[in-house]
Amino acid sequence: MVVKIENLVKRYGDLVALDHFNLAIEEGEVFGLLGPNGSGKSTTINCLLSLLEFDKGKIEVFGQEMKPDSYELKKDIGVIMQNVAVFDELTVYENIDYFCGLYVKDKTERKKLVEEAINFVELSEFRKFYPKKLSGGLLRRLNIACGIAHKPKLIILDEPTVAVDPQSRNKILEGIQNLNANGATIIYTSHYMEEVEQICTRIAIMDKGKNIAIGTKDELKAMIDLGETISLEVLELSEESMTAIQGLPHVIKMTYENHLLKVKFSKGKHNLLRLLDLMKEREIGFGGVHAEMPTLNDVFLEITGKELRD
Amino acid sequence: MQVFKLYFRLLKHYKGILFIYFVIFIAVTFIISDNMSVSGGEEIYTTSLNVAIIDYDKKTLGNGLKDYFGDKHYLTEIEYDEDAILEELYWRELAYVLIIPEGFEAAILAGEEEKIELQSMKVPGTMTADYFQSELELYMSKLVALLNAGYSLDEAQAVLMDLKEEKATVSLAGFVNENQHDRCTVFFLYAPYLFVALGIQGVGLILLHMNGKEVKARMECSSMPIKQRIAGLTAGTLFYGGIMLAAVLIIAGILSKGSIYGDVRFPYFILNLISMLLLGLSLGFLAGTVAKNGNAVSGIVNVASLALCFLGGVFVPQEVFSDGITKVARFIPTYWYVQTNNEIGAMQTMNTELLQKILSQTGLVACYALAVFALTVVLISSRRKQMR
Ligand SMILES: Nc1ncnc2c1ncn2[C@@H]1O[C@H](COP(=O)(O)OP(=O)(O)OP(=O)(O)O)[C@@H](O)[C@H]1O
Ligand SMILES: [Mg+2]
Repeated sequence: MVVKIENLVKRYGDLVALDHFNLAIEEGEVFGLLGPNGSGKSTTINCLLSLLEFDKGKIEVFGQEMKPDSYELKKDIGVIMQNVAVFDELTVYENIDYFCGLYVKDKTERKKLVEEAINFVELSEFRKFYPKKLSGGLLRRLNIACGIAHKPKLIILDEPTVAVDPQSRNKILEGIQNLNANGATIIYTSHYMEEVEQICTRIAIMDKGKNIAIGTKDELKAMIDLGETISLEVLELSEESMTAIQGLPHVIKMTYENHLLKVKFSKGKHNLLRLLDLMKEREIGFGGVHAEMPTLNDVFLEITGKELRD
Repeated sequence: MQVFKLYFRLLKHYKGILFIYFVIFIAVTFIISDNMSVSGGEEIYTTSLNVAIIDYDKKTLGNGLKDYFGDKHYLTEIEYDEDAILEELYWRELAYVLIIPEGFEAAILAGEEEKIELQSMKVPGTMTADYFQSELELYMSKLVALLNAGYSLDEAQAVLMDLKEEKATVSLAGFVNENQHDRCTVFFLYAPYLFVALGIQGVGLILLHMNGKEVKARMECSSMPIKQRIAGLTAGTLFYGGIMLAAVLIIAGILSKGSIYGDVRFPYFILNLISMLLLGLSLGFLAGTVAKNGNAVSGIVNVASLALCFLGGVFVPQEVFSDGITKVARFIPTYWYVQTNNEIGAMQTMNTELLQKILSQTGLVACYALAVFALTVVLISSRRKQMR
């Protein structure tokens, strides 16, 4: 067990930011914490790192209780915070060297590690640059390099892709998967479900300081009674036909707008087949068939009754 | 070591602005110390003072006085205008204003010199005013003696005029120590400005950046114990202070052509400088903790350095302070620094009494530094609690 959080309660005055929160993360996982803004992701991370005191509960890292002075545990943890944390007065190289030096005293070893980190985030051309001269994406990559240069076994990333262009974002996500392939356990928070779906082996969905669902993305989707959503381009559709479609088995909801027919099915077999048969039978012309599997947003919607992103 | 090194990388980054402060300081001190420092009684004697005379009597005696002192000093005859005179005295455009009352000559000739006396306006306690006053008194006593001996007023004045060169050997050592205004004493007098301005600017800026919310969180997450980080910070601050002290001592060496290093007063000067240095550094600690950004640090630099230097009597001589201001100034650490500096400057040999005074005064300044430092620590820890 790399991380174990039990019954964590954190209050900011009257506001309960974490409400009996539980979490267990195994070695080798890429664990995603998914939740809307203000759901308590950063608070969880800050408690886990002993940056915040909490009101109740227990936190263990690598099987030991985590405290502000658990320096032995901290050696093996790498942190990339939501906000970029670098010195504007130091160059790319100096920044990585400084933060790596907080963990690694030996100079030759550190030099090697810093080089590796620079290459890993592909910033070698920019090593003499000051952070102010870097684009948003490059700056995020520097921020990551500062957190991972000392080769931690547990890497915690709090929304590392906020305000990053798609190209840099993909690089970052790839990088995280590489770190994981090299043996690091990852905790990744985000409110972008696509990212979490793409890289995480397991996901906890958070809302209002609570862990409302946990599992692999398939397990999470299996939790809800939602099958595929099928959309068809249809030129014309009579009232009668609409009623007929509504009458098909497993149909949850049907809409027809701007010549686009959308049918949401609950789980079940042959949903698409039945729909297409009906169209043929009634001689309704159609094109552009498109089937969408449920997303984590649907999962979130189902459990909380609201959208993940507002 | 890592934090110590970071300290210097940051310092290197801000060397431009720090250097500017240093250059301003050096320029200001050089100009002022050049004007103020006079080394030795003889030079004082040859110095010409700006003296104004208001003559209500308008008789031979007054004219004789003007002739006698007119060679040596810049004499001007003025009308009585209290505000204008006070202002000129304040800015040292005038060293002494002599007022000859009506009927003065008549009283002297009648042997009733106690009846009507010469009047004066001056800045009390200033060396130049005292000096002129003593010259004047000497002249008058000689004149009266000559008159009593049967000389006529004209004759007596002529004799005094002839004797003038000889009398120039009168020693002033009795009330002016020849060291008091040497260049190093004057230069050290301004050190508080340097230490406070550069201390706050340097330490404040560095702390401000090290305390940045994000980088601080990253440091807190690291495996470097907090004690090591504080040790690195303290070492960096002291090293920075060491550089400032060294710079001041080197310049003092240049000003005195090296003689200050062999001076008996040198170790005491250093002691006094260190007490002020500690205050500057601790104010930097406080500024770096309370300031939200670099502009706020610069603001604190200006307010603190100017307030301390004006109220403490660095930029304005303490002699011009009114009783009220002096009462307030006694609570300002720079006041005690200046006192100590002048006492060391005037010192010829050390005695226990003076040593005790120097130790207690430098100790007092150091206590101020400690108090500011302690306040900062309390502030930091209470904020830390709030954050968590
Ligand atoms: N220092 C604080 N004082 C008071 N309330 C806070 C503080 N920090 C966070 N909160 C509140 O606690 C709740 C959880 O915040 P948290 O930052 O953990 O959310 P998050 O999931 O990280 O959100 P985001 O996606 O915006 O980063 C929010 O309602 C927030 O307003
Ligand atoms: Mg957050």
